[in-house]
Order: sequence, then C-alpha cells, then structure tokens
Amino acid sequence: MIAAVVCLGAGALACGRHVVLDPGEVVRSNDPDWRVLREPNADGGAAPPAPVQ
Amino acid sequence: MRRAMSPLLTMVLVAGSLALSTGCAFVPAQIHRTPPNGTLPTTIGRGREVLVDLPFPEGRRKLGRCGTKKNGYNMESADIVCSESPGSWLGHALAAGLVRAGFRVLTPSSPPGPSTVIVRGTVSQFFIESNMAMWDPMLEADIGLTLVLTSQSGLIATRRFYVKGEHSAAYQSEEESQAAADDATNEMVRVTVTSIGALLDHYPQLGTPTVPAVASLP
Repeated sequence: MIAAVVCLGAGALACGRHVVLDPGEVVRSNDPDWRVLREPNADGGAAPPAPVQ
Repeated sequence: MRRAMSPLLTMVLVAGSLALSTGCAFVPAQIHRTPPNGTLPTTIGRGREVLVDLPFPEGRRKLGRCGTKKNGYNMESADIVCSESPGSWLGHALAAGLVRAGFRVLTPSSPPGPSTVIVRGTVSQFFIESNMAMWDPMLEADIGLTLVLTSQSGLIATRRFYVKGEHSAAYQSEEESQAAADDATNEMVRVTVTSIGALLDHYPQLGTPTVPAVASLP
C-alpha cells in the first residue's frame, strides 16, 4: 500500500514540469490616471501631426 | 472470515482515487471569449464616437497559451489555451463593452472623423494559473493592458491597466478556467470603459459623431 502511494506520487511529480510562470517583465499595477501627452484642439478640428519623439 | 484485499486491487483503488482527485489538472483546457457580463451604465458613452483598432497586438513574452494548470506539488501539469489570441479577445471585449456603455463604435475599416477617438491597445499579460492553497485553491486570471487613445484633432493619452479574476479551483476544470478568465475580462472591460469615459469628459469636443453609418461589433 505504502509502496503504491509512493510510486503514484512520484508519477504525479514526473507528470508535472517545473513551474515557470509566464516570463517577462510585467508591470502588475495600474496607472493612477491617464498620461495625456497631447491635448486635442479646442475646436475639434484636425491637428498637425505630433512631433516625432 | 474476512479476506485481505489483494495488493493489485489496492493499487487499482489508490490509482483510481488519485486520478479522480488530480485528473483534471493533467488535461489541457481551452477557453473562449464569452458575451460580456456585468453592468455598465449606458450614460457613460452618450453617443460619442470611438474606433477600436482590432485586434490589439501582444506584448507578452510567451505566446501560445493563456495559462497553466498545476498538480498537487505546485508544478505545471497542463496548458490552458485560448480559442483566439488575447489581443483579439480583449479588443473585441472592449469594443462590446463600449457599445453597451452607449458609445458609437466604428469598425476598424471605417474612416474616423477629426474628433473620433481611436482606441489602440497592447496586451502585456493574459495568464491563468492556480494558486494551490491547501484548503481553498483558486484559479487566478491576470490581465494587463495598455491603452493609447488618439484623435486626428490631436489627443494622445495612454494608461496601463491590470486586473485579476478569481474562481475556486476545486478540480481545475475547463469551466473553472473559463470562469476565472470571464471574471478578469469583465473587470477589465468595466475599468477601461469607465476610464475612457472619464477621460473624454474632460474634452467635450471629442467623439462628435461624423460618420452616419455605425457598425456594431460583437
């Protein structure tokens, strides 16, 4: 009985792979508000292209 | 006289009970985008015109799956895959949420007017995994999304969003994975739609309908 449990436990271990969480640098936070890099024209008309940064 | 249980029968019983208790964790799950749920006031949009640039590109480092199941030893045991890319998933979910909130949502091929707000996004995270706590295992869905709002009239605004969804993970079944993903998706839609509405409230000149034909997105 004990041998069976040990054997099956080892099998379960073998079925798994080491945990590697989704890699990458993930920012786990919310920005507190919008970052407005440019405001729209007050009259709603088309604006000239934004300067290249 | 009571006969002792044979070793073979014992092994079969133990294997059966182990398989029943952990079997779901070894079977891959596929999850789908479901119709949006949750309440969004229709007064948020007030008919303002937005165009959602679908699908959103993915900034995730590891593509091809949306999460993982774990065995009792907290090791990965099977993948959770999405029926569509998270960029498509979240883009369509956001578009549907904007419609429900009262925005006029144009299809990506529609020509935007000068004040039409164009919504672009990048998915930084979309991952479901179980938190194998002893008494209360949970499936957690993490979604990260960065939105950039622009308009021909000059607006450029950006904001990062990150939400978590949770669902009990007694069996790590496909239904439980789906529920965790739905929970996080609905929360992301609620937060982003509300936030877009709040930003546009600062600029009443934005979102004025200019295109008569309105397309309905799923």
